[in-house]
Amino acid sequence: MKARLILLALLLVLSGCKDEHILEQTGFIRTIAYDSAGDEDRNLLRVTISIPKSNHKDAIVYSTASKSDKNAKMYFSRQNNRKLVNGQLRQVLFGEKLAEKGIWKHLDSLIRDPSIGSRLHIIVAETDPHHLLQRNDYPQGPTAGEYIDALIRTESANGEIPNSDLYSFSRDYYDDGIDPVTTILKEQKESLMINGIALFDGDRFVGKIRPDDRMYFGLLHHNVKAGDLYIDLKKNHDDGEQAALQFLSSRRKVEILSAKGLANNKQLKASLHIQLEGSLLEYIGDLDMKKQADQRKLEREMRDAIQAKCESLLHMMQMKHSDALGIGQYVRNKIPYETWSKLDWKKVYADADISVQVHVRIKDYGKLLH
Amino acid sequence: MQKLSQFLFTQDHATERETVKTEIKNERPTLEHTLDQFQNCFDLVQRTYPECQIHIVYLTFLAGADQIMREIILPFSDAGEEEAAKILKRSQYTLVTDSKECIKGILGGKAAIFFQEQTYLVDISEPVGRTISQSETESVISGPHDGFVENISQNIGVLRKKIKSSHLKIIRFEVGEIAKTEVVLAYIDRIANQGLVDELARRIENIEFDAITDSNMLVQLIEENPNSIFPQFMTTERPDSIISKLIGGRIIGFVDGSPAAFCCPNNFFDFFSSADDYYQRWLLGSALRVLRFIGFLITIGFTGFYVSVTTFHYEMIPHTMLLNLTESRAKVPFPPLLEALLMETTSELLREAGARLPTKIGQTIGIVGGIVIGQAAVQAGFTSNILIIAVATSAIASFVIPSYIMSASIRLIRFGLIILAGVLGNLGLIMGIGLVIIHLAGIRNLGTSYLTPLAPMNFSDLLDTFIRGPFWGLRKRPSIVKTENQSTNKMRK
Repeated sequence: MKARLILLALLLVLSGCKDEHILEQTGFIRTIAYDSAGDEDRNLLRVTISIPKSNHKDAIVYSTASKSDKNAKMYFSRQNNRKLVNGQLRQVLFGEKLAEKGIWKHLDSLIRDPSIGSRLHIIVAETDPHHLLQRNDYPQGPTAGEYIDALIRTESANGEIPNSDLYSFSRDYYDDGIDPVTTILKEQKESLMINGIALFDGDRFVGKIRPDDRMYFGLLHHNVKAGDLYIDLKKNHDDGEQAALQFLSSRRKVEILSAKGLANNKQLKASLHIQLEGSLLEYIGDLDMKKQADQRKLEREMRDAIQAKCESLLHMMQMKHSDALGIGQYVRNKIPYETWSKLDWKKVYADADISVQVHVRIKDYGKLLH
Repeated sequence: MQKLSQFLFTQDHATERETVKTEIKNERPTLEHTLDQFQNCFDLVQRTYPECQIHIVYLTFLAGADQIMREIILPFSDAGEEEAAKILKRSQYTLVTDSKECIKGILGGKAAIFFQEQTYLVDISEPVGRTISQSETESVISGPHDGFVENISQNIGVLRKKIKSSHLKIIRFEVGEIAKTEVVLAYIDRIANQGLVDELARRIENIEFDAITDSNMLVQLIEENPNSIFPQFMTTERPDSIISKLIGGRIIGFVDGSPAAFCCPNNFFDFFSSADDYYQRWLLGSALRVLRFIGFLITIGFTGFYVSVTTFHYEMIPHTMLLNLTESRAKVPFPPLLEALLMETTSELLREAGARLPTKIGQTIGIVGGIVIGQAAVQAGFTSNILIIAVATSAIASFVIPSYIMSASIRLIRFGLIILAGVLGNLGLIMGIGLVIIHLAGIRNLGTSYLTPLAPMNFSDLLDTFIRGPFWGLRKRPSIVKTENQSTNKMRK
């Protein structure tokens, strides 16, 4: 018994010490940026990593052009005095050009690394991602990594941009009948800015939702819990009528109207119902909000405006072959799997007739009467 | 036999258990034999009153001057032989026929009076010891402040005063081959399980040990798992908690010379409840109890967790904190395991030094240790400041455990967990905690599992384990006492 206990204790003590990452001997990569190295025919990859320093102000940035990320990492660790680890990775940036070619092979190696958390943000950078990382003079926060992190977290908390972390990206990538989306980031002189939503066809970046339209995309894409929507009603009136709905909440419902004939190349008919309500805190126009009838009228005007906007967005997504809304999932649930797997979904989706039905309700028009 | 003994002991408090045992009766006590037994005892006093032909023998330091005056000098100094015979018929003079008993009486502070072939004993002992005062180790803010004292008869008196019931039974033992310390067991008849009482009595009778000076010593001799680091029989100096244990169906005991009473059977969680819990409103009492369990987890695991996280699991640290941690670790020349062991040892040194010193100097230790060493160690690059927080937090957390013995045991586990965490990371930490739980589940306490009511699960007990249930909810006595009289507020089922 005693001998066995000693053996057990020895096993415990001697089996460790392999996987050590003592803090001060470790360099934590916070951000990785991938872009194609410009030189198209050699197919080189430009990899940049950013390691924040413990003084919270600077970051060490390494950048190299190499054939693969593993090569690049070896190159970086030859320079760094600390062991480079991925466990604190928070964002991966992809240059636009690279994203257009497909990003899955880079993401795949991230997913398979167990030390990387699945809440890692995936971002498409419209401007040069390396320059974005190299700068450390952002007034909002000294290092790019911290700044991007906070920026995306606050924006996606409002439901204005969809959550574009590694988990949801890979889930949507693998799932049948939905395409992933991510955030687009743009560097400016004084700041970084969220400049829309990137649409993907599979893992290829194919299109973009403009930042002004991101709330409409939000309505189409998921249930918005709290957000603001500015609606231009200019088309109906000459004097630039405008309305702003705040504390908006919405529910979306997808209804597949005709799925039976899909196998026989019939057109798919679907309709998206969006129910939204919010407080009308800003309104510039002729209607008198104290009157119920005028409120109803405004609701109708807003409904038409939102409907038109959403339909045009949807049409654009159909053109780009990006089913970011997951219409395919609803279709798949309607028809036998066999039929679904034979279907050329992207083509059916592009040709589908999808209408948007919006129902707007003004909860109140502010807490004070005037 | 059980019924008989119960009958005998409950009849008369003064009847001693020894009389039931069939002992070989010694010869009748004689003065020569007695003096022979007490050779080389300079404190033995022998007085002779030639007028009445009596010899008196007693131990002088056990006797009180008043008592000697009252019981011996005044009655016998002027008495003749006939008068002496009359005096000795008074009730305080008891006839002994056994020389062993006579010697025991003298050792117990009585005077032996040899008169005409007869021997009488009279109590002339002076009560020694302090009066009832506040318990130093277990204090409460609201609630009774009295604590038990070293004198066993005073303690039994306290018990009798607080439980005015003839169902409170008290059995007396003598333990210790040489010291013959008085030990009593008390229980409430019809609530306590008689089988457990007999088992405990058997264990106490079977103790073979030279001298027992404290109840914490006695319980180690009668526990089932003497090699476990966890105490199994709870000891406390508070009469109010002892009474609640007694009413709950447990058996309690006193050791003469020890201010701590012990009680059993207990489960692990009993050591986390304080008398305070019952004096607070139940929601607050429950919150405090939950806080103590959190304190338990912190005190065993927090430093270990620091070590495992800084050595293996950098992924688990929030990013902003990671940078601070790296900065403060950067100056430290030791790996986290060594660093943590050093600081924990220092903290234990401080605690032990504080316990040994008188209160006035003890405070200085706190200042020197806490402020000077803590501050200087960080500045000198000896440890990181976050480790100081971890060590200090786990030290503070260990003080919320009401039982001092339990909190000392738990501190020892911490060191094991730190080493496991430093070698195997979180895996080691969890393995260590798992081993502790396995060990806890294996402990038995007077035949019941130490982890009741968790394993085996008992729902009605849970109401007074992790929380302090409202009084209207506490309708049943704890299951571990195996009482036949389960519902509270009733003497019968």
